[in-house]
Amino acid sequence: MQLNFRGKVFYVPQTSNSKLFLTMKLTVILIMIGCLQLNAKSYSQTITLSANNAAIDKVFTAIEKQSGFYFFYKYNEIKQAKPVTLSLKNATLEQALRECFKNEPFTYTIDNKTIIVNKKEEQLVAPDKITVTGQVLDNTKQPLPGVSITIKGSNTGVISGADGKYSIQVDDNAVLVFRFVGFKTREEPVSKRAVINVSLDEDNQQMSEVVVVGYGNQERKNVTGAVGTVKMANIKEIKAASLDLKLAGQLAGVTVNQVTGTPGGGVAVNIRGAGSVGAGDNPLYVVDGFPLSPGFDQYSNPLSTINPDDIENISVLKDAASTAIYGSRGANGVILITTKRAKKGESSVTVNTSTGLQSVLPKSKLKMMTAAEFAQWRTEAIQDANAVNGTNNPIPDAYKNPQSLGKGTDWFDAVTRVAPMQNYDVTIANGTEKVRSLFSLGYFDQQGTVLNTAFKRYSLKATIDADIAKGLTVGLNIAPTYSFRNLQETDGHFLSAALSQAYLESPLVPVKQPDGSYTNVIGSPGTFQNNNPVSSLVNTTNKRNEFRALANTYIDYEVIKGLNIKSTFGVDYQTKSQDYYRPSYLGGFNVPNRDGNQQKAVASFTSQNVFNWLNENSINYKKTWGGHTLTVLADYSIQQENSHDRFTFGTGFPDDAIRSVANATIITADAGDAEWRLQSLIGRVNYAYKDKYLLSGSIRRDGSSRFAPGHRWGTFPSVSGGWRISDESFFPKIAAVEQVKFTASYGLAGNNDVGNYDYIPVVDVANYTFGGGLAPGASITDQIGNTELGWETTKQLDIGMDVSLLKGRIYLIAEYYNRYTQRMLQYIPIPIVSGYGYALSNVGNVRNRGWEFTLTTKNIVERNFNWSTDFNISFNRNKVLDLGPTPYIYDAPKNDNPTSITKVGLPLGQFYGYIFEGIFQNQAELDKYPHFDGEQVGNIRYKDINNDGVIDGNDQTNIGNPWPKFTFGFSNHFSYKKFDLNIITAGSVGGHVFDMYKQFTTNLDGVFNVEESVIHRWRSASNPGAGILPTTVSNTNLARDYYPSYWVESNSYLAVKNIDFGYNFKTKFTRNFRVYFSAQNAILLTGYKGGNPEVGIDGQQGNRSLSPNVNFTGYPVSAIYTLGCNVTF
Amino acid sequence: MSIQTNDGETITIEIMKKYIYVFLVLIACGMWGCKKDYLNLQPADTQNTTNFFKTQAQFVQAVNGAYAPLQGLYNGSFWAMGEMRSDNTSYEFDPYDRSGTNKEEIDEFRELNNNDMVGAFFSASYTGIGRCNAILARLPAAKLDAAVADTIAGQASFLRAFNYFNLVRMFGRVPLVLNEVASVSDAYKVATKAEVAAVYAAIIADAQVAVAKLPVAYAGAANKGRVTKGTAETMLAEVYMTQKKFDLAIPLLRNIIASNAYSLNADYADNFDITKENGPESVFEIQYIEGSNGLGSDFVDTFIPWDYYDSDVSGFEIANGAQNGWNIPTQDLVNAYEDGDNRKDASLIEFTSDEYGVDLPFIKKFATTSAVQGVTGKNFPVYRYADVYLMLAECLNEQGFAGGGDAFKYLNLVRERAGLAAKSVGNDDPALNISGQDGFRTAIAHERQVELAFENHRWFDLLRTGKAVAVMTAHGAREKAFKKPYWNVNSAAYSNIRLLFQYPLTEGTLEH
Repeated sequence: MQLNFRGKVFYVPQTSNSKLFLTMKLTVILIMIGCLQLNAKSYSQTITLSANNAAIDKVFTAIEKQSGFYFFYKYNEIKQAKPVTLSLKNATLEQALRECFKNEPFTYTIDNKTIIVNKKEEQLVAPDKITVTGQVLDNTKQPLPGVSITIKGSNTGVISGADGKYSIQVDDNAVLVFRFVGFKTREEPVSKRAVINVSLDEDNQQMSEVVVVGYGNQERKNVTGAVGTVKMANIKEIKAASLDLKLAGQLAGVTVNQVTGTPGGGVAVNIRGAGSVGAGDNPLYVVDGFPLSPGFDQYSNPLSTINPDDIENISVLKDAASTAIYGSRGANGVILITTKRAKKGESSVTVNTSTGLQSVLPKSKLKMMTAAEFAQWRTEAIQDANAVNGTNNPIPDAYKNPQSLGKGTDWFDAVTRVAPMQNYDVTIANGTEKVRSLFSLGYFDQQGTVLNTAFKRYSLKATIDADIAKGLTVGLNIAPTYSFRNLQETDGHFLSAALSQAYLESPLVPVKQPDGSYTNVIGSPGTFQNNNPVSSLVNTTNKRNEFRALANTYIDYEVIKGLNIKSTFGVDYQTKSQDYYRPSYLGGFNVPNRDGNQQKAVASFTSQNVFNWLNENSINYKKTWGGHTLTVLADYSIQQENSHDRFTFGTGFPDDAIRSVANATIITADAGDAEWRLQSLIGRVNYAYKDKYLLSGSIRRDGSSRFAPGHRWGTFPSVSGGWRISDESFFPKIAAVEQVKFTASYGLAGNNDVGNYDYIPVVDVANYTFGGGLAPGASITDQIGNTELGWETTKQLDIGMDVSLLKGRIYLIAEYYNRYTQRMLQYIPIPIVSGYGYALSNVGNVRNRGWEFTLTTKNIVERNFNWSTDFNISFNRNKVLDLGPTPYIYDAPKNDNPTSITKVGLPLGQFYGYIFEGIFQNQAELDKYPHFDGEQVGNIRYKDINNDGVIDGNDQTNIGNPWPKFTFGFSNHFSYKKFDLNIITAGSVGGHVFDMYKQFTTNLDGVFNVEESVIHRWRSASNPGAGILPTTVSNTNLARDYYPSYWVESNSYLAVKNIDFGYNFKTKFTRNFRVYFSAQNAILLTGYKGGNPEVGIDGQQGNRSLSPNVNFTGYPVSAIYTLGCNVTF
Repeated sequence: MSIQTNDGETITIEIMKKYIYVFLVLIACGMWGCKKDYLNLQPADTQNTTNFFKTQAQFVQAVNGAYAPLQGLYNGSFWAMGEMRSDNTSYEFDPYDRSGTNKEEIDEFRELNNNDMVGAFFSASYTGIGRCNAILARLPAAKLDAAVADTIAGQASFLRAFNYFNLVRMFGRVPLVLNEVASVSDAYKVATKAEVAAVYAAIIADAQVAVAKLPVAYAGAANKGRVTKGTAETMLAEVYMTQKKFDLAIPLLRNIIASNAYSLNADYADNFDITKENGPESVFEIQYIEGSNGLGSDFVDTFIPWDYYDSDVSGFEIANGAQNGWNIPTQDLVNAYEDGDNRKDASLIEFTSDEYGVDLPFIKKFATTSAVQGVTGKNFPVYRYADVYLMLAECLNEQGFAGGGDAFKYLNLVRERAGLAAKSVGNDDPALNISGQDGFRTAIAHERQVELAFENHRWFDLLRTGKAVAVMTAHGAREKAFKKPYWNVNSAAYSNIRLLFQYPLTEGTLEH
């Protein structure tokens, strides 16, 4: 057994050595400044020493004292050393060591600050030292400065000068390694040559890029599945609470919709369309191998607890061949997130700071009536009613002189503000041969553009990887974050949502009274009398804090070369609590607080803790022989999650002084506990022959506690293959064509994102009361148990082509996919006469198919000017093929009448309502067409879909398609000398929004302020307005409760997601210093007038697929202007 | 880790061993997951049908749970479909908040088949039926004390019959589900409409079980509000009366009287006094309690005109919108009260609408205050002993008019309690004179209208007596004339008087 024992000695400096310690610290700083992939090169201490036939360990001690380095050796061996004679004056450490070891049968290596001494291998003849000089050029024959030239197998090396020249002392049989970022690494055996000139080839990063795939890495050229990678550098300067927001426009087939502007709020991400109906349709997020539990909604986002600056790499697995390895949860795609770890030889300190301002995009704001317009409108409505009904209702005094009222209060402006945002992040990485560590500290603070909303995050991350024995590596990554939210009920229905209320408040009423107090009751004659939304926002407490620790440990043992056993244990621990208090004096919408004590104060305290752990045990074997490469993976894993929720509600507060449940006189509580478990067996084989033929097969068998006995285990196999046709001998040798590769894959993936106990027929609390007291009751619930509940399965075929042209200047990936989501987990309505209302069942089939193109081009590559472009475009078509026993699934995001219908033959979640055919202009038209009972001239004419001469519920139909025809992303990156510029745009074409909020913002009853467009309503045959909005005189509910098709609007848009402009320079103390300005979301081009074109809200079952793009107003999306700097020491 | 350098080899092996042990421990932990039932989890915070329905306590809970849907039914839709549908009540038009059209349509016979109030009535009824089916299906296998098992079976049978009786009168043909539905596919299989006669046969069978098994009274005040033998007999009598089988109803009604379990309150208003709920006259009432446990009622506020700004009725100023202003007594009903009828003041509050300047009285019967708005403990009466008297009087008259007979006795017992003079054959006062069987029918109908006003009897009475179309057509004309000067009356109002509600749209699409 070859012994190459490596240990580490910890040196405790003595007080008398304080000078030395100081020197050491200086060294550390210098090392950091000096950017050392090569540790030994810049040790600047000098050594002065003379010895005559001294024992070698005495010499070591002397060198240790002067250099701050430590020797590490085996005592038994060193006894064989010859005595040392030397004389050094201001020598470098290298020189000193060289002298010291000149005639010794030992070699040494330097690892960080340790000099490891080993016995020389006997058979080796000591080679001669020679000095090699040369020049490094690029492929255009320009000199390349800054190239690192190292001796293979050692840490010594030099860096090429401004003219590309270098000089290095090496053994005459050594191998030199030339490395430079952006170029292919080249190795050159010295072979006794004294002059070695090399030219480095530009690296085609696309092909050699290492792609993180499920349970491993692959080079891009060997990838056979559909895997997208995000260029982190491109999105670095996008400031967002969670990384999902940064992905917009980055990848073909990945749609990212910012459905709400809530700081730290949920983001809707779909990969290759919407598949799942009843089960969650979010992709699976896997952070450092740990699959996170989903939990997105308008106000929370599990990814917001991860500092985006800690992320090294993001891969998106799109096809079943890639996702099948995550079998159980891969059906909607997998997003793999790898956080930063230190690399061998890396030593850096990075500081990122930024500060910015957010302001609501003007496009996000509806144009409501001013006070003058509102008074005019109310006056006209009363006049119109008097004319038609023959009444003589007077005009209220408040409205009598509209022009004098001017603009009045703009309530939207009153509840929003320009808000600051800041981000600080420090990362310290230090990698030696043996131990690699990375620490980071982050602080993110985003104040909301809506009053009294904010998100703050404090994050910490520590990662250590250590090679503790030969072949044995252990690692620990722990990332605790503490985040804090100031929430307000901003999104949704006006009954509760402040932002929606703001739009509807009377513009005649001021926010504050002359005495500075908030106006208590907001209302004008005929309108609802409401609470003050500004006061509600400012005075309602709704704070949520959340602690989350993601921790991962692993131990990896290389048994023999190529065979690794790895075991990991990971934990995701989350604890959250939320305090809510709404004081008594606020009142509610349409329930104002006239007398100061009408509404009771309410408070709640909720808490949740979730403990999730994962253990994976894998064996990985890789063997290469001849042109063959074989990789085999086997893994056994279990994951388990326990969650505990506790709720406390309080009311009956004596006063508003103590804003805590503790002060409530009536307290009620609730609780929920749940657990799930998952057990998996995974196998995968990758085989490649000369990188020309690629074959991969994987299988995963998953058992989930969420399904009924006998249906718990699912098997998810996949196969994929690739053929690099350009490597075939028959392929014409065209210089322009670097590579052509075809890939194909087919596989199955699953989905179990449903409730934990849905198959069990639950008996739940159903209390009643007898004799004036509570009588505990229990009953079957609305949901019938399903003893046959099992996995939802997605089958997917993917055919792709990679083409690399002009040495990688043009790289194109084209893909076609066909994906069937079968045995869908869906909540289906069942006949109520059964005693139940719905069931979770495995029925139905939804198809998504489409094309994706990703084109990366390097348009200009010059020494001083570079321009590259990333473009992707995706076409997805979604169709429901089968829904089992139910003909339709209706859905409504807010428990209203259904806004969306899902039925066979159409895409999911079609908007649902009546077809608008105009306004009845006169009695003749009214007589001619079918209409609702009681309709009058000036009312809406709806289409009689079934031609039965009657307009009723049966005339509702699908009135619009939410899904876009295509989505695209287009990014350009420029650098000129020290300047760089990134422009990221994203767009969507052909989709629609169902603007449900029109039922309030164009409400004709006069109870709300309304959109300015209401001016153009129908008033009489001679004054018919714009032909959309009907009369205010009668049946105004028809235009509101019978959803007319004109609420469906195109939401095609082009958004400039980010522009960042930076200047890079070096200083004496920094490796790189970049200052930049970035403008995020600053430009939005769209014809959509309802606000945010990406709007959407979770459906009743928390699923967006069944009722996407339904607008109920939401937290406005902001433009963010940031100034920042990134410094690397 | 501190290491001696003189024996590296041994140490390395020791270290390797240590890590291999760690490996083994980790893998062993993983394998622990291989336990056969590792994936078998049951919720910790709820029970399920396999471990429930075993003990007596569980069956008592289950039967309590079978009452629960009645709270939503009576708080939600029943008043709109059982009372506001009739000539007794209507609504106050709200020109500002137009979100209450679903209820306006019910009042004016304009509702569509997707009316959510009607849908809620339908689903609450079948929810109750489903709960009863589960109890009755599992009861025989449970080992309970026979007497307890009888009360469980009796209550469940009653509640199932009661729900079907409401359904068949509202919708006509409805699916008849009498077994527990165990699987998703079975749920579709049972969804086929049965003939009305079959539904009635099942109602009668269930009611007879209830009559046989229920006690006349329960021990302990904590059981006040449970259905009794008398409740079952009252319902069964009404079922027979609906089927014109008066001869079968009479012995049931007489039996209730003979049980001496009930008596009329001396004061009519005591029936609606929240402090005197479940009193001697109460045969069946839907129970609510105030508080934060979700068992309260809020119909008190619903029945207040939306422009009533005082907070004296419920203790709170109501929201000014479409959640209020419903079930407003009509002029027809106000006019139906005879002079001196003390039931009028007990039932109504006079009010002149600010908005319209017209008299719009509203319901006083249910007025009560509560600590938190919309969470009152006000019960809703279903059967009162006065109703038993009036039913018996009606049956006896239908069996043959007999001047001065028992029919007159029971009618006049109710009238006298209201402070009114007795009616009789050959009375000098024409208003008190009853001349024959038809005259008695008219008198009973009138008496029931005012005695049981707002208690969801009027529409069923109109249906049962075959007067619905005639009464509602005449009433509709008067209503339109009354409202026309004040608000925009829908031109289709009362133009399509019909006896049944349309079958709910979404339910219809799921059925064969």
